[in-house]
Amino acid sequence: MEWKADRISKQYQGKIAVDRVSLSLGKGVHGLLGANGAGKTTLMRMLCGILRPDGGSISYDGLDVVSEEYRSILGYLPQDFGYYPDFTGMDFLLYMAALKGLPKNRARERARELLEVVKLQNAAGKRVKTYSGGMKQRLGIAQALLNEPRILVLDEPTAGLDPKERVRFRELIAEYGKENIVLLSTHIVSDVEHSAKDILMMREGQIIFQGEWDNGGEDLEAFYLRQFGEGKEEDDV
Amino acid sequence: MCKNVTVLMKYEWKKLWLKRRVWIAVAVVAMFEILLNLSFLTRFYGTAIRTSDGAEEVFMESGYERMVRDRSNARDLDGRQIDDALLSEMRRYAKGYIRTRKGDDRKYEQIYRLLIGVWKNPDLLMDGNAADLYADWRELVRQRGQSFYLSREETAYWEGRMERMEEPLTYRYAFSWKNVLEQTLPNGIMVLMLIAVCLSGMFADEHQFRTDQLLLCMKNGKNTVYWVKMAVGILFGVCCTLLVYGISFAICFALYGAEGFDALLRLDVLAAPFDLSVGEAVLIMFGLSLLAGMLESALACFLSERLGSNVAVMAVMVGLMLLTQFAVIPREWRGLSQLWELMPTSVLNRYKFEDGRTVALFGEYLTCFQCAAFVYPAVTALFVWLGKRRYLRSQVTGR
Repeated sequence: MEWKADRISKQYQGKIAVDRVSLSLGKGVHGLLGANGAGKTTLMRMLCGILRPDGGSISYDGLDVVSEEYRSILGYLPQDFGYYPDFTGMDFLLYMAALKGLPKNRARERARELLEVVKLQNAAGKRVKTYSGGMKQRLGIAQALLNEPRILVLDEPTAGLDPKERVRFRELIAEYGKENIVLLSTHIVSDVEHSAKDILMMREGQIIFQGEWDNGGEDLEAFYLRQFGEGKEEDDV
Repeated sequence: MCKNVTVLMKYEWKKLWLKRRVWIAVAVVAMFEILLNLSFLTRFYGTAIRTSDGAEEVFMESGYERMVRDRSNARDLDGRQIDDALLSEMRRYAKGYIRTRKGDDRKYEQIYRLLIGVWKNPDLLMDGNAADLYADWRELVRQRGQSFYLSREETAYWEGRMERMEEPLTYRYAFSWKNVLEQTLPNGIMVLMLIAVCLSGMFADEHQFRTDQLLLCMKNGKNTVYWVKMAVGILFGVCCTLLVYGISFAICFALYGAEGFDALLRLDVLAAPFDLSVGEAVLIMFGLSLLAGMLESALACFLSERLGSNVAVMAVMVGLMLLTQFAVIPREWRGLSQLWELMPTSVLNRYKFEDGRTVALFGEYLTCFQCAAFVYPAVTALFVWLGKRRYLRSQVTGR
């Protein structure tokens, strides 16, 4: 189980968003930290095959990022999670399951399971537009897990979740990462320091740190702040 | 792992029907179609009648009463040959009406309309005989052909076709078929408006709701979703056509009956060189309307993906419709003019049956309707292909 990105780059109108990033990720939860505009979302979109890199390659155990097989083992929660406002929660999950190629019966069973996992079983019949921000985010997490993906990519997954939900989410992800690859992007250090064994830090489109966090007892948040400069944010990418 | 085509189609339909603008547009078009067919009910007619003592009286009747009277009169004429005997009967009964526009014997209204269409001058109605009528009628068709710059071969071809129609022609009651034929253009415009409003968001809404990033990274989210969306879009165009024609047929058949399929088209479109029946003409228009609906749907879906905004799609489609309605290419530029007039809003007009221009293809001469039957599916396929290219290359950027 090896997910590889080899020197991938992306530029927008002359500005480098991702600069020759190489990664090799195995099973486990990998936390991607970086300030706003560091290139995290661009990197994740390329890893999910919805944004073509200007250079480099991405593959999982030999499967190319543009192949249908690659997409069938992928689960993705985008940062700005889009939904169909007039669909009910259940309909939304069943539609996503059909897109992921789940057979009808399995889709219904899996949708029910996940609605329970994300505590939305009582809101399954309500239209998504009536959901709160946190409920929508949980629905987004549920859709990402529908096909039991071997690669799970979560872009700012805890946005809108209350503290209790965040703890439950961390536990869920930690459990899922035991058998699969999870890449979790955030700029909130506490989201990854408890659940991610591997930390990636990104600045100005480059990975500036990758490895298990065990830096002589130093606090991850302090290290992070030292790297990025307190309060400093990069231009949006 | 499967493609789930039927499930995906179900959800695409659901997305479409959950939009309020789709329901509103369908309701408005259905209402328009009903009004188009029943608007006569709201009218009242006043006719000045000279009584036996020479005084004038105004006779009032409702639109419904007049429709019933016209229908009954036309049915009475069904099967009558349009010959000298019928012309003289018409003169005897309708003398006052023709000369003074007063009096109200509408028994021969249908024959009167036909003659006035050929002769234009009401005075001729009092003097001309059947031989004059058919000679002038042929001249009318010939002159119309000249206005289309028909070649000598085309003129000879259409004259040969016209000779197949035995004179004197026989009047047939065909109110339903004539009414449906009259409505092909408004029906075509309504279908286009429906498609522009309802399908403009087919792909654009995915970008607007930011669901494109979910679709594009899922197993069935590329090829399968594209084909499903296109299929639903094209099927929607077919359903819109069936809806507007369904309303037209239902109301016309209920009011006038279904008889008269075999009535000559020439009795309705006087300058038409085609030796078709009015029923056949309606079927041709209906078939072409279905093909046009498919083409417009494919165009709407392509534009929806290309422009990414439903307002822009509606603007382009309505703009195109207005352009093809009002912009005319002079017929002297024959090829260009023929091509331009292949646009659905031009072809779906009953007066298109006056156009005798043909296109030579592999030794055969194709009329504008035959050309449209080939060109519309080909252009539909082109838009489907262009849309697929665009969709598969789409990227999620910005935001």
